[in-house]
Amino acid sequence: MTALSELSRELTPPAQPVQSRAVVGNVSLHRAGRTLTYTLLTLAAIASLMPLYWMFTTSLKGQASYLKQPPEMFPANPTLENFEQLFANPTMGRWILNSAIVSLSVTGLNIFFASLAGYTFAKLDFPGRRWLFWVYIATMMVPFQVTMFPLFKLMVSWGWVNTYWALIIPAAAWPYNVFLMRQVIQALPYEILDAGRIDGCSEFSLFWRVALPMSTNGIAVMGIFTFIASWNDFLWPLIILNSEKMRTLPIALATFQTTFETNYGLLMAGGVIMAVPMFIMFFVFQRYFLQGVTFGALKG
Amino acid sequence: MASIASPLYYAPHRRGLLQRVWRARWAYAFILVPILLFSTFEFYPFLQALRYSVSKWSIVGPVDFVGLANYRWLASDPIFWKALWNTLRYGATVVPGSLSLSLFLAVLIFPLARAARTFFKMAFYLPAVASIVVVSLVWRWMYQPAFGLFNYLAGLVGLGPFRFLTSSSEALPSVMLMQIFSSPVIGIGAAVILLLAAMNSIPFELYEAAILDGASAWQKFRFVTFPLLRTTLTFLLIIGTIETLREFTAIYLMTSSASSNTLTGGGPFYSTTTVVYYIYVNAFLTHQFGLAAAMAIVLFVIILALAVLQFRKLNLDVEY
Repeated sequence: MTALSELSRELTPPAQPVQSRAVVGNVSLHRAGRTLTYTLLTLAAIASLMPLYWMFTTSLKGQASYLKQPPEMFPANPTLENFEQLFANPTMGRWILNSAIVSLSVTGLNIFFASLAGYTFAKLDFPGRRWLFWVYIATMMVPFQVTMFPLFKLMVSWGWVNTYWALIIPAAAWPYNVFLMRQVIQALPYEILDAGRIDGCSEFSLFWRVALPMSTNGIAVMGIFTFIASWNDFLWPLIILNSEKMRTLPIALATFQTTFETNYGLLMAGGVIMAVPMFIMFFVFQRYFLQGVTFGALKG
Repeated sequence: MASIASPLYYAPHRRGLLQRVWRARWAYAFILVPILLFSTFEFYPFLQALRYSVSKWSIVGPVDFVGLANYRWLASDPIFWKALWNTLRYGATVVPGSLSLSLFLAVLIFPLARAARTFFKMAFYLPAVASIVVVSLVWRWMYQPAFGLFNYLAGLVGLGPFRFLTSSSEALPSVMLMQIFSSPVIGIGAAVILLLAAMNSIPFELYEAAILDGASAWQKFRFVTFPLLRTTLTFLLIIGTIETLREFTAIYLMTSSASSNTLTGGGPFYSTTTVVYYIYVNAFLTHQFGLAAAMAIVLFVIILALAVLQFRKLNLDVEY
């Protein structure tokens, strides 16, 4: 486990200016090499984006046209009827609301509690710190499938089945986020905290006014990935929600599949509704995604 | 080796434990809520799972201790063995498949101009941002045997038609292919970005030295790039193995009831039933929680063993 922490620290190396990328690369960029590189990459990019393209175009095809053979690569008569039909469902708005409430709460709570705990593990010394931290890390390796029934039973006994609580509270401080925030905050120099102490900062304002503002990059990454993981979370909501009103979008979408078995236009429109907020986040916060940190990856 | 730095700010030596605890009261206050959450929702359930795995319990009624009966039952259950085999096959294909493809793509992308690099990174990462739920449904639609895109495209080059998810031999490979492309964790998107970030931090002098020694492109890759990516690759391998072996959503959505001819889903003739899926079936469809817990523990032990093994084998010291 030590090693894992070492590893992930090494994963955010300072970017170095590279004098000439072409020399570093393994494909010497002569004309033939360049053409081949671009051809291969473009083919791979098409393969990668094809499913998304197909989702968008299918969602715009009416009843009559999505089953056409050969399939229309570009919808000949684009229509919004699938979306209209989805939004005609009175609970659709409620599902979006459920997803938004849960994801935003989970993200907010994680930003606060995971950072606070990460800060404590990184910068404060207290008896028991070391073993407490290792219990944390070791438990992180336990697959969710192991803990889900006891958790389910707990929720049943608390009467939390079909509530927001069951989705929000157990996820309020993911151990993985605690671990990552510890890594981020550990990089801050002690001198700054000491200076704050000398100036008479309280322990909490050292965290709130000094450590937190200096870790905004790490917090942004954690927040974004937490939001996405929570928005897309599937297994736990599937187990814990059984009323139609309480469903989150992924669960609603999965139940469409059984209800509208063959109505792929409608299914794909549901997929678009669920994916678009994520795409917007992706384009807005692009630089956090592309800098090479897979936060939130361990949430099963 | 433990990477906790020691600012002994609060804890001068030779003080009583109580006094040290009192001086660190803020630290305890700060971690109180996360520790409470952790103990209640992670640690306690883990201990309970260990207990259930040696008990007979079906959501209501008493939890009866049955010793190792659940594990013995598993050992004699052919479907469990099939699920175990499927799980290992799944991991052994998706993880190396995705990693080698990612490494290949990263090496191709690295020398490109900045704009092109950004474009390709985005193109590969975008599917990982869309939820696995969405992606699974889209791929299922493309795999649809009669009207799906894939059979149409295969037909254009004279292949198929394939039965994809509805065939017991093609179902699991179909899910694997989807995972390699679109998994948010181990799919090519995340891996390419991580590998590129790691390549960025390789000191340029190493390549200069290699060039002075007359190294070919392949030799530069083999003796400079690859060894220095080892840490990142090991990380991806471990995380990827953990994630792949416990993948549930894609299996559930792509091969449950509708496209399969078994009652419980998990593919035709259990062809895509992985351990995780079988856990779900036993727990929430047939309510044999003891059995499900025992399976989960077996899975945990396998994952842990693989992670430790990979780490030991692969993380030989890298000299920068």
